[in-house]
Amino acid sequence: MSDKIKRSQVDDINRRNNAADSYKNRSFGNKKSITDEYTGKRIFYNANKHINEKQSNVDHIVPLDEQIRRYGSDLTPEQIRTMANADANLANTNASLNKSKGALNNHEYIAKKYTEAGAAQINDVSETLFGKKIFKTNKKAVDCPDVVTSVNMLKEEVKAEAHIRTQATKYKIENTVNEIKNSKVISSKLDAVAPSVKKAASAGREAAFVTATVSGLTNLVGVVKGEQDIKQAVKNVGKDTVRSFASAAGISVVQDGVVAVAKKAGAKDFAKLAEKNLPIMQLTMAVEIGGIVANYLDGNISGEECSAQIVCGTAGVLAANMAFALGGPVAAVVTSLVVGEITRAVTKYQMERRLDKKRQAEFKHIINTALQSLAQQKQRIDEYNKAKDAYMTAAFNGGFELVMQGVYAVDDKAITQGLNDILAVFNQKCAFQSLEEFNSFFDDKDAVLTL
Amino acid sequence: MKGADDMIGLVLGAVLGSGLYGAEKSMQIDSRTRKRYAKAFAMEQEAHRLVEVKKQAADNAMKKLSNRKRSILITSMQNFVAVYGKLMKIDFRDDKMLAVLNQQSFSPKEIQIINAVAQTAVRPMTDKEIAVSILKGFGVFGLGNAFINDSERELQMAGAQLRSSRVVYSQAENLAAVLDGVIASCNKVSDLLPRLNRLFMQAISYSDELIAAKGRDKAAYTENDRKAFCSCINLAVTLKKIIDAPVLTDEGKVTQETTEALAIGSQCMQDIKNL
Repeated sequence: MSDKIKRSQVDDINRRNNAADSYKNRSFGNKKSITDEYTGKRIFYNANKHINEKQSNVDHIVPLDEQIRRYGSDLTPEQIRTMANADANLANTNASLNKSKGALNNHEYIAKKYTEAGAAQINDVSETLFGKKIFKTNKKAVDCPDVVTSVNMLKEEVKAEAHIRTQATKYKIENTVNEIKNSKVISSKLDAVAPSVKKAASAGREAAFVTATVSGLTNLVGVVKGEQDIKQAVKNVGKDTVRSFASAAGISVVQDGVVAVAKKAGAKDFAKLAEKNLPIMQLTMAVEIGGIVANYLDGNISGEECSAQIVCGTAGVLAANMAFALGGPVAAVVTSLVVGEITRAVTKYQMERRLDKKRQAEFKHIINTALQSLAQQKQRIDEYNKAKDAYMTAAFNGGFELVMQGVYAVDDKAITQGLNDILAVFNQKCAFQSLEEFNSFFDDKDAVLTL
Repeated sequence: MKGADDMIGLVLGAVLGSGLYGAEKSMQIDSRTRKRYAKAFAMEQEAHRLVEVKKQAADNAMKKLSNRKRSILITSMQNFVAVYGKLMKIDFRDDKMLAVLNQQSFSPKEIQIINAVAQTAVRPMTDKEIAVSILKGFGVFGLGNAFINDSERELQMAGAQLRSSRVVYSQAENLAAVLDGVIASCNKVSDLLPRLNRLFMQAISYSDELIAAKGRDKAAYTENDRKAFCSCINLAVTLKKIIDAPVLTDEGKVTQETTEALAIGSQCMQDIKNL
């Protein structure tokens, strides 16, 4: 933990539990019980009437200590506090699980529980056979999270990680940009931008930060040069960083989850294989996960869909390939644990796809209707323009010719008629239609000519 | 375990091969996507340019017409008032002149709507193809398909963008046609005015000579003299009515067509958003 930031500075009990619009109160609404986001079982609002397994607690999915450790040196306590207590990082679960999890990440907790269970079981056998324990632990066989709980916890963790790393990157870039502005650093002194991000990279803590360094610098240069605004730069860096996260932390989370499942199923060979860092598989998965997360950032899919696609998809690929490698009933058992999830996703997809075809057809129909209407309008305008042009030409030329004939023949009627033809275009007529009309006006001493 | 290791190698080889095939295929699709986006972008830019050019031409035509009107008002019409003021009372009103001269074609708001339509963004159809490609992963070749599906979705989006660009361009063509009509009308009136003005100046000059010769006694004027006066006054009234008339004599028609073109584009954009 950072020396500077205390846990109490970044926790927000009101936002989580106490305030009227806290995550807990919003989740419960007027209900007395809701579904545990990890176990899928019912949990209750009121602490006095129920035991720990049924008492609701709000868990920080990515623990506060972990966030302080990661971001304590780069972000302010307020920024970490906002990130840590965002809805994406909170989950309603039971008090028992929440306390047991402590300051561990979800995947660490799952792995720990399975390890403890394995050790306890071996100790039981060892004590029965040899009268002594093999592992130095006093723990008895413990309840491991079941498959549903494990999958839910991993899903939530991936979703929370995607949110936090994106948010952290945004804050980091905003802080750096503000630093530049405050210190009046101009483009010729861009080196001053580097240290903040370089620090993260040189520490080699996370692949995401390496990407942030490259992407961040490139984008910041753009900001300082006035080629792009801060908002766009933050968006770009956020995307690049989360892609990178997908190839490192994301895979690690999924891989750990699969290992835990495999261990429970007794598929030791599978678990061993899954624990290995297979670069080819990681590379292909990295591309795939990167695409999914980018879609989440673009707002094309929800956080739920994002996590479901990552966990089900990647775990599915891993399990499927392992199943091919191992063969036999063990692989079938392990594979079946994730197939259920994938099947659900695919069923949903098939429905979506049918909807998509309908949407595409509707889209084409809308475009074609608009084009047709515009084509009809164009034809109407062209015809109108043509007719109007012909009318004006005839009225002006014919009218003027008649006026000229009247001038040469000293024929006032022809002149009047010619002028009337011209004025018809403007829905008007001459002042005097005949000499009689003019004479009565001309001879009237009080008459006024209005122009 | 050796058999299993061999199998792993085969599986991973197949996965990698599939991935590379998919990557190459997706790059080909991406190239088509870029071309479609480029074409859509070019079409939207061309639509903007077309409207801008026509709007400029319409403004120029109206300016030319306004100048001709102004020149008649400050020369010939003043002469007429001076000459005929000797014989009769004249109420000369030029208050409509400014309104005519300040007349414009399209309002900035209308142009803004056109720009808004040009920026129609089409949301991606779906992101769920990936899920199916994962299922195909059980058949090993799914990873390659994941690349391809992703690219195909992008290609589909680019196609949608291109189609909506055609609407934007078509809308711009209609607006341009409306403006063509405005330009043609302006030019016709601009050509007519100097011809009538020449006649008018001759008539004023002749009237001036008559009044100078016969004085202010109206009884002294013959029928032919009166015919000359009548024609000269009719010319003055004709010119003044043309000057006072709005450029778009049936402006309702132009407004109607312009509004309709904008409405079609806006409705299209709204329908797409509601999809």
